[in-house]
Amino acid sequence: MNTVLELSAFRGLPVWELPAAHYLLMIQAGAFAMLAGCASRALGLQSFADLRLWGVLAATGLVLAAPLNLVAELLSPERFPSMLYRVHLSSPLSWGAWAIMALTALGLLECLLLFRPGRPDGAGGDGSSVGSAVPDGAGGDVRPAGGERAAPRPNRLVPRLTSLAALGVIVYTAIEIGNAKGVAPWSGFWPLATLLSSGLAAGLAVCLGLARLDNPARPDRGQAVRESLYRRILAVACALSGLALLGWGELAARPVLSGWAAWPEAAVLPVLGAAAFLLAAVLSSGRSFAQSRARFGRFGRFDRFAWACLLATAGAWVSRVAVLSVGQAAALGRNLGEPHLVGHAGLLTAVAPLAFWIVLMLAASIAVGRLPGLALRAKREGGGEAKS
Amino acid sequence: MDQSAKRETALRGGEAGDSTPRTVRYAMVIDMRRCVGCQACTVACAMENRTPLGLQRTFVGDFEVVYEGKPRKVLAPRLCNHCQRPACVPACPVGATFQRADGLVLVDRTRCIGCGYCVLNCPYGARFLNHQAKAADKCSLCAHRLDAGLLPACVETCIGKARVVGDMNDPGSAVAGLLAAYPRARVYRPEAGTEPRVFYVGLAEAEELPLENPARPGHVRVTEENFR
Repeated sequence: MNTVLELSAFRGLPVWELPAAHYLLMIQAGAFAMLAGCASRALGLQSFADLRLWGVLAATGLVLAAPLNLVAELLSPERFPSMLYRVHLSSPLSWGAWAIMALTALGLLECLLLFRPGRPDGAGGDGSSVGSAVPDGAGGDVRPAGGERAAPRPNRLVPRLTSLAALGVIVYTAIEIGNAKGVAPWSGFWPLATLLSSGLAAGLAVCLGLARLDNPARPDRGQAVRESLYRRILAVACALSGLALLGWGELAARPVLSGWAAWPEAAVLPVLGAAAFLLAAVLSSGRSFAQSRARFGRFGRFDRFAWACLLATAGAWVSRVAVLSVGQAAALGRNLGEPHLVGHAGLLTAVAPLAFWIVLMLAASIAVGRLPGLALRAKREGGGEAKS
Repeated sequence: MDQSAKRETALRGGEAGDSTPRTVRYAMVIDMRRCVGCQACTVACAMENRTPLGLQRTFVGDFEVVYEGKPRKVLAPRLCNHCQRPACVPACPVGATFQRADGLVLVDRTRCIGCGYCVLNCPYGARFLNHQAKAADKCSLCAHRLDAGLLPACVETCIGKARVVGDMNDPGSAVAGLLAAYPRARVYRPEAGTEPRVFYVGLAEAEELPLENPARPGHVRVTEENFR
């Protein structure tokens, strides 16, 4: 008997492959980035005002590109629109698609408001990015030329709706994974904690990293305070990811609860967790950005913080691949030698949405630099150092 | 009684032509003492339903377990359980997976988008993605044959007559008779709350249905790979 045929008989193939991991990463990072971007407006949190521009831009790009992964994962992508005709509330995939549609529409609306000059919602009024060095307390509204009239009250309805949609997407992804009854290792607290904490880290890392790349650091006291805050948030998110991976790996490898199947390969999860801890340590005990930029100056704008953001995003990617692979491997004897990551869709298809998002961000960077309102304000407040 | 009438009797219970209205609920009872592990059901299913190479709607799991200190081989035929409360039906985002009035859980291939979420939601691993048909696939209990008054391919080909299918709501059917004779018929993963309608009889009182569970000795399916 042909050995290959013999070995492949009666075995299920992997169901969700690399596009699914990319989809989970992009949609969760997008939702968390959107939350971070809208927090300043929705809740009046000035600490997050700097994240508005790149939070909203990065999140909108992510929620535009992420569904391409979902479509690529389908066996019959031409039937994807049928998901949108009717809502099946019992299926997380069904109402999740609607939550993503709502988040996409609201994200685009946020972008529209962001780029409208002279509006309190506009980026010109928000200071926008980490590197734009907006003075503390000025992260809010545009004052008229005279400076005598009170600033117009910012519109909070759209950011609040957008935040709700982002929360809906986060809840959808959590339920989608945690409620899959056929994959026991996905149910429970640890996989969800891993996904959500690493999604938070990735979301923050994406918008912070883009802001850093768009506008490099300058030694500014207010900015240093904000950078410290962001770095701590990112470090906490990475540490939570590491803790979740560590705990889940331990439980999966050596089950202490009934119903858990031992899966020795899950021992790789603690290693990933340790790596996340290492990253958290790097983030929490780093030197100032100005110093690190001086040290890594030959890399131009790609300073230490940008590297940390990139590492956090990479860690979130590895977390998703690990969660999907280990879960499906443990489920009823799957994953016995079949290729798990690159399946029917192919590697190029799996990478294409990520490339699409990078193109979108390049376009956004050019738009941010060329829009008169944004550029003028950046020049005025940044002493001519910002992009023109 | 001719052959078709016998089949009708096995399916519906009682004599053919009995027109008493009742709610049909198809179920299968597998007598594990009669299964010899020949995999004829596997082949017959693949021939009947033209499943892709290497993917099966049904198969016979081969386990070596230790019972009362002695090694023992347990052959466990597996297929879709056509649950009373299936987990796959509510999980489908487009309604392609549905449950018929007679309890059969089926897939409408013309509507399935192939997202695989039903596969991940089945606690029994009875589903798979059919890349040829571009849809989810599973045992339909040969609904097309049942509708035509025939037995499912696996039942008809079983040389040990280990598989019996019929209407469990009909007290006169073979299935109902077996279930009455073995009130402690087992089902896979009762804790999943799906109320499976594939029952297993013939195991000793203290024995468990073996599952592919690496954490439990004797619950690892014997394959060519680990046999070597």
